[in-house]
Amino acid sequence: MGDGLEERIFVRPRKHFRRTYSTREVGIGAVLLVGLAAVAGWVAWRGAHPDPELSSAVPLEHRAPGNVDRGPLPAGLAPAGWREQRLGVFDPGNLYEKIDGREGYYKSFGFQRLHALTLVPPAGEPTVDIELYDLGSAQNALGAAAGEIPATASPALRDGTLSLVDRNTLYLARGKYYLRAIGSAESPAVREVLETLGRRFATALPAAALPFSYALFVPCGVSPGKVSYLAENAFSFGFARGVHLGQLPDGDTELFAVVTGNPAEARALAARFNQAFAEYGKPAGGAGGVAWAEDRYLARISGAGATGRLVLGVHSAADVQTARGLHEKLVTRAASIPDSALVTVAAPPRQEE
Amino acid sequence: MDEAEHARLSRRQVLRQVAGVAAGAAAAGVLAWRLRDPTGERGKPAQPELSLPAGGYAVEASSVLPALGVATGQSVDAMVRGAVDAIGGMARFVSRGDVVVIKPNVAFERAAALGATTNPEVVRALVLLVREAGAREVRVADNPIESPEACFVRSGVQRAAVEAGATVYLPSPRDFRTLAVPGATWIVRWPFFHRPFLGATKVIGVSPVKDHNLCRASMTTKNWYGLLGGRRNQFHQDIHGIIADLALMMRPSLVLLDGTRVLFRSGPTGGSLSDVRPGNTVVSSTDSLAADAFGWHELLDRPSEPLPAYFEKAAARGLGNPDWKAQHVKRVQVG
Amino acid sequence: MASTLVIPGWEKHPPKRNKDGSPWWARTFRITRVRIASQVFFFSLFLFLLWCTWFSRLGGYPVSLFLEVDPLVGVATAISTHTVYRWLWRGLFVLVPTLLLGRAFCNWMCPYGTLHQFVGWVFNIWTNKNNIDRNRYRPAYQIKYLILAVFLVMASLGSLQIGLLDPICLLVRTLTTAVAPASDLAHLNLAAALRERLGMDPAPLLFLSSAPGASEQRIFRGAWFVGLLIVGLVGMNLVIPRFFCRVLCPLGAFLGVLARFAPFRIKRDLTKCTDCNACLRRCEGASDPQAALRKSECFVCFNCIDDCPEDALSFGLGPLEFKDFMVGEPRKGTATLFGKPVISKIPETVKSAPAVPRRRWAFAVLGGVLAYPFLRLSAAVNKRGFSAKAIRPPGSVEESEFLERCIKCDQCIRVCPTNVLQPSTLAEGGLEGLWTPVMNFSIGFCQLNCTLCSEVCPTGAIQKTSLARKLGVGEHAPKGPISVGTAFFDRGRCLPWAMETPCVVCEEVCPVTPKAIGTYEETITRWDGTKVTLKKPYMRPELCIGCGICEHECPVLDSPAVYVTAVGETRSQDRSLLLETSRKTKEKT
Repeated sequence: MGDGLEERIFVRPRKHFRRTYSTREVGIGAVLLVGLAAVAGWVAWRGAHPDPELSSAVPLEHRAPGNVDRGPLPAGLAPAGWREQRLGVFDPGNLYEKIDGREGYYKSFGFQRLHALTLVPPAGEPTVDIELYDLGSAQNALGAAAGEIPATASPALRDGTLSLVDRNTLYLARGKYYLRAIGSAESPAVREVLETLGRRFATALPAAALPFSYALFVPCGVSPGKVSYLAENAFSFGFARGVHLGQLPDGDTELFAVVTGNPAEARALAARFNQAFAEYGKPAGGAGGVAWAEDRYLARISGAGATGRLVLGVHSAADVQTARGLHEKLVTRAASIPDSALVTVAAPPRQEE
Repeated sequence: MDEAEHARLSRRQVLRQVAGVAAGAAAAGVLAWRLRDPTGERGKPAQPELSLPAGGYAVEASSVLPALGVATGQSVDAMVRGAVDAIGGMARFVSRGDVVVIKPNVAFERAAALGATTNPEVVRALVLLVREAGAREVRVADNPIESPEACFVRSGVQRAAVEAGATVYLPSPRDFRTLAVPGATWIVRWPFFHRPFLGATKVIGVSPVKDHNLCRASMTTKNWYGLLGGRRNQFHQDIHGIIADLALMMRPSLVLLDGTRVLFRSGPTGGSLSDVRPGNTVVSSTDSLAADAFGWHELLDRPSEPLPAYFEKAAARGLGNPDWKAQHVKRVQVG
Repeated sequence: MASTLVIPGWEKHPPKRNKDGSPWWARTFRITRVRIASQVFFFSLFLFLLWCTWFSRLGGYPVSLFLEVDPLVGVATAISTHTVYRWLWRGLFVLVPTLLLGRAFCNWMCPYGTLHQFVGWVFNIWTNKNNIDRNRYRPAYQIKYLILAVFLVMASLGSLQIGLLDPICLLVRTLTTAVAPASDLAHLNLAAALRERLGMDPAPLLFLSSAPGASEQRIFRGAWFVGLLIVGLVGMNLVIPRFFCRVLCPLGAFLGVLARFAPFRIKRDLTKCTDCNACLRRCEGASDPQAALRKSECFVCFNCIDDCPEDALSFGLGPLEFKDFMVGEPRKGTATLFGKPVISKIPETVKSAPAVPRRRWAFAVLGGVLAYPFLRLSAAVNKRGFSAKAIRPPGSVEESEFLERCIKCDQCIRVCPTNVLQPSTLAEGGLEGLWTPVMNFSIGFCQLNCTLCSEVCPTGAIQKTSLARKLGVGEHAPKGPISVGTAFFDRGRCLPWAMETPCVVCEEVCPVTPKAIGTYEETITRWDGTKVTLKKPYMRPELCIGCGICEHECPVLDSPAVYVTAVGETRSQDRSLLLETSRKTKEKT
C-alpha cells in the first residue's frame, strides 16, 4: 500500500476513489429512472380513480338493492339464478337522479314515486331494468303508458291491465302504476323474462277501475294503447279541457268524450265544438243532433253531440256516413256506462321545468 | 513570563471573573424578582376571551317589510331567492365588501336526501345570492358531531359551497377560543369556533327542519350549537336553556329555514328515507324564533302541539317573537 | 461526426471528460447516484402515500402499496392463512428481483433502510479507518435470521408476529402513532402563532396536517413506547451502522435467504484487488466485499464499486468461484488466473448462504414452536377470558383468524377519521395482540357511514367491507348490520337514572334507525322540590351495532354511564350475546 493511496483513503473523507466510469452503467440507471417514473405515473393514475362509494352523497337506500322499502315491487322478481341490483326509490325531488331530462314527462302524469331495480343474469348480461312509476291514478298510469307505447304496436287490455311486450320492452299499466321494463338486448331469454314479469305484475299490483273512456272507446274499435286524455287545449281549442280521446286504427279518425256537470252544459259544449269545427271548414249537414263540419283542407268530417251530461264526438272521419255510424256506436256504448263512472280525474298541473 | 507579569495577569483574571459572577447573580436576582409569583396565580395560563360585536350581526330592523318570507315551489334556487326577496332582498342584508359567514347544519355524515343536514342546493343558492349582493368573501363553517370532512363531503355541502365560490372552514384543534356571552344562563364562557368569524361582518344561518329526540325540534336557533366546541354533551341537561342561550349568543343578519325536506321523526340523526318527507318550502327571517315557530306549525306539521319550551325562554329575553301568525308573513309561490 | 449543426465555441470548449476518458456525465450519473435518486423517490412515495391515507386525500391511491409489495407480509400471511389476500401478490415485485439481483430492496426501496442510512450518514463522525472497521461483518448479524425463523414458525401455527419488526409495518406504525401527531402538535401551534402574533393566514400550513378537518388533536395509546423505540433503533446507527437492517430486520433476513440464489452479485477481480479494504468504508450491509462476498448480507448499494481505487469490483453475473481456476499459491503471490498474476491474497470471492449454523436454525424453530403456546394461551385472545375492551373495527374477521392476518401496521389506525382506532396495549390484546387495532370510545367512535379501515387493510384482517354490508342493507339484509360490540348502561352513573338530571345525549346521537336507545319518560319531584321530566334510557340490544358514539358523547367522561364491550360482535359466534344474532352469525359462516 503506497503513501499516495494511504492519503487518498484516509485523509479525504466523503470522496469516492473510483477511477473509471461506464456509459453503459448510466444507460442502466436511465432505464431504472424511467421505471421509477412509470411507478409514479401509475400511482397518480390510480389516485385519480377513486372508488365512488367512499364519498358518495347518494343515500345507501338509493344505491343498494332489497332494503326494507320495496314499495309495491313484489319480492323475488329475479328468475332462477338471476340477481336483483340497484334497487332505488325516487320521489319528485330526486327523480332527475334516475331519469335525467325526462322527469318532466312523468311529472306531467302526476308522478309520485319511482321504484327502480335491475335484474342481472348469472352471466352479467343482458340485464333488465325495471321502473315502476306510481302516478296517483289509473288515468295517469294509462296515459303515461299510451304516450310511450310505440305507435305501431297494439297492447292488450285484460282484467284491468294494459300490457305489451314490444321488442325488448315491457309496458304495463295497472291501477295507479305504470311499469316499464327494458332489456339491454333483444333476445328470446329477455323476452321470456319480460313476459313473466308482465304476468307477475298483472296480479301483484292492485287494480283500480279503468277510466270510463276505455269502456267507451275500446268496443268501438280503438286499441287500448290509443286511448288517451288531454287536460287542456284539445284540437287546439282553448275551451276544450278534460278531453278523453281514442284513436282508430286508421290513424286519423279520433273519438272523443268530455264529461260535464249536467245535460244543459253538455249541449252548450257540444254546440261550441260544432261551431269551432265549422270555423275550419264548412257545414256538412246535420243528423242525430250533430252538426257535422268538413275541414277545409283535409276534407275530413268532425262533429259532436250531447248525450246526457256527456259530450260525444268524432274528429276527422273519412265521410259523414262513417262519422254518423261511429257517433251512434258511441251513444249506444255510453248508455251502458253508469253515471257514477263518468269521472274525469283532475290532472295535476303540468310541471314547468 | 516573569512572576510579576504573571501576578498582574492573574489579578486581572480574578477581577474579571468576580465581576462576571456578580453580574450573573444580579441578573438572576432581577429575573427572579420579575417572575415572582407568591400565590401561584400568575403562573396560570391566561384565558383570552372573545366577544362578538355588540348587537351581533343583525341588520337594522324594518317596520315596513314582512317579518317572514315563505317561498314554496319546486326549484330550490327560486325558493331561496323568493324567500329572501320577500323580506327585502339580499341587498338588505349583505352590502358590497362584506365578509359573510354562512352556518349550515352539517352535523352528521349523511346523504342530503336523508334530511339530517342542510340541503346543499340551498347552500349553493344562498352562497350565489350572497356573492351577487357583492360580498367580498363567503365562508361556510360548521363543527359537526361526526368527522367534519366526511360530513361535509357526504352531505354534498362541501361541493355545493366550493362550486358556488365559498370557502369551507373545518374546525381544527386550535380554532376554538373562549367566547363570553354576557347574560347567558349556561354558556357565559364557552369554547367557540372562532376562526371563520375573524373579520366577518355578516352571519347567515341556514338550517334544515328536523325532529329532535330531546328538544323536539332542531331548526335555525338550535343550529348555532355547531359553532361551539368543548363539552357540548353537557348541554342536554338543560337543552331548552341552552338553546335560549344560543339565541342570545348569536344575533344573525338573516336566517333561512331549509324546508325543502323535513326530517319528521327519528331526529336529529334520521338515516332512512322513510323518516323524510318533501317540504318544498324555504323560509327567511331576521327572527329565528318566528322562522322556527313557522317550521314547527307548518313544516313539522304540529299545529296543535305547544311550542317547545326554548321558544318561550328565548322570547322572554326579547330575542324574537314566536307568534308568527300575528306578524306580517309574505308567502310566495315560485317555480 | 458529420453534422451540419455548428455550436459556436465548440472547438474551444469541448465537453469535459473524466480522467479515464469517459464523458463527464458517466461520473455524474453513475449508479450510486441513481440509487440515491431511487431511495429519495421511494421514501417520498412512502411519505406521500401515508399522507394520503386520510379521507379527503385518499382518492384511489394505493395507500398500502409498500405493505403489499413487502414480500414478507405476503409470504407470512400465506403461511398462516394459506391464501394470498387482495393485492398481496404485489410482493412478487420485490421477491422476483431479489431472486435475480439480491437484497437490492434494502438499499433501493426500503424507506426504513433509507432512514437508517441517512441518519448514519449525517451523524457519522468517524474517520475512514474507523468506518472500515465498523463495516466489518459481525456474528451478531445472524440474529435477524433467527428472528425470521421464530416469526415464520409462529405464523405457521397461526400467530402472525412479523409486524413487530417488519420494517414497513414498523415505520407505518411509528409515523402513524408517534410522528404524525407530534408533527400536528407542532405545526398547529405554529399556525396559531402565525395567525395571532403576525396576522398571517396559515392556511397553506394545513397541507402539513396529517389529519385535516379533525377538530381535536389525535392521540394514541402507548405512543411514547413506539416513539421511544424508533429513537432507540435509529440512534443505534451511531454505534453500529444500519444496526436494525443488519441485526434485527426479518424482512432483510427473508430477502437474504432468497439472495443466495441470485445469479448477479458484486464480483472481485483477484488480479486487480490489492486487499486495501477501501470497499468497506461505506459498505451498507457489512457483506465483506473485500473478501468472500456474503450475498445474503449485501444490500447491492454499489458503494464498494464507488470506493475501489483499483476498479477491481463490478456487478454482474457471477455464478462461479474463480478460486477453482487459479493456478499457483495466492498467499505466496505466485498464483495466476487465466494467465494474469493474482494480486489479492484472499482467493475466495463469494459466500452464498446466511452464516447461520444449522443448530442455531433448529434452536430458532424450537423457540417459535414454544412461543406460540406461550402467547396464545395467555387468555387475552381466547374465547374465554378475552378483554371486554378488545373491540375490533367493523369488517374484522373472527379473532383467531384476525391474529393470523393482522400485521400491526396500523394503516387502519392512520385512516380512522375519528381517532377511535387505537394500537392495542398489553391490556387489551396481551403480547400477541400488541399494536393491533382496537376501538377506544373515550377517544372516538365508529362513524356509521365509514368503511375506510377495511379499505386500507393490506391483509384482510379487516376484510374489505362495503357500506351496504356494514349497515346490512340490500342483499346483506338477511345478515343484518355488522355489530362490533354492545352498549350497556351503568344506571349508577347515568344522570337521569341516578342523579335526577335530564340528559339522553346517547339517544340523540344513536345513528341507527330506529334508534337502539329508547327512553322511559318519568316525571319526578327532585330533592329540592322541583318537578322534572326525565327520559331514562335503555338499550335495545338487537339494534345496537356497538359504534360507541353513545359512550363517546356521554357526559360522564371518565367512566361513561353507557359503554360498549366486545360481547355481541357479529364476527364471532363465540362472543355473541343474543340468540337471534347468534343465528345470523351461523348463517354467515
